[in-house]
Amino acid sequence: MTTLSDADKNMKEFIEKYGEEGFLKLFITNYLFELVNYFLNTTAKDEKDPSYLMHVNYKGIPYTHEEIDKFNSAIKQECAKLATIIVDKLKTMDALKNFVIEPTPDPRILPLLEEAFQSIVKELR
Amino acid sequence: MGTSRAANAPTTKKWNKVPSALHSPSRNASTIVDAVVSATIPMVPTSSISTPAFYAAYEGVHFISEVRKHGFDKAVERTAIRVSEKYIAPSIAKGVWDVAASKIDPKFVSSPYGRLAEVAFRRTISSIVSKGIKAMEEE
Repeated sequence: MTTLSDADKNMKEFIEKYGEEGFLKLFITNYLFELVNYFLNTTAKDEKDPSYLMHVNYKGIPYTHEEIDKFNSAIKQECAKLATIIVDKLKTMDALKNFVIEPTPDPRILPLLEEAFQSIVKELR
Repeated sequence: MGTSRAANAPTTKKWNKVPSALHSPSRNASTIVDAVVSATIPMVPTSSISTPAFYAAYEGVHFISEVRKHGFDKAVERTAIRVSEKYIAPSIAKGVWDVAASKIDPKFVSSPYGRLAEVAFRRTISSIVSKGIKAMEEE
């Protein structure tokens, strides 16, 4: 169980090593992971049902828990790569510092974040 | 009541690559993530995805920066978060999310993407509070 002193120590260590940028990268990784999983768990009435294909291989054999866990880890690693592209894009647009210095969310940054999300699609084309 | 149903899969031509990639004998995470992102992000109004992410990112960075500047205890106090002694990491994560959510148009908070942003945000803060640098290394 995490104590208040653990929480203090853990946060300080994280900030020292990865800083605000590290938080942003981790959050965007987790968000992309949730988004990808949301769509991978959608359903269809035919043999193209993603939620079925996620759990059963091309021979119709169910994947084991270990195989599914390994696959999810690989999906998360891919999301981390895309999150790096988004954070780098925000850095080149000089938007990252606004997250730190502005006392309230600056709505002018929102279109820059939208552009950063679109940039991963362009990257994949 | 109390049951949830998965959403229907997209029916666009671009989406067809996703089931094909999932069904492939050489199933590959990179191909699948690329196919999902390419097929879905252009399809969803960008603001639905980026609005909750923007406010969450802002509040998260702001909280981290408060801890850096004033220390953990003061940051919790200044952000007006109620910390449960029993569930420290989840209560901090919920507290910071509540601050972010209060600034987002409710239509985005309650949208599927708002809920995904909430899950991702709370997981991120919670893992940093409970694991420190291991939160990143476990990625």
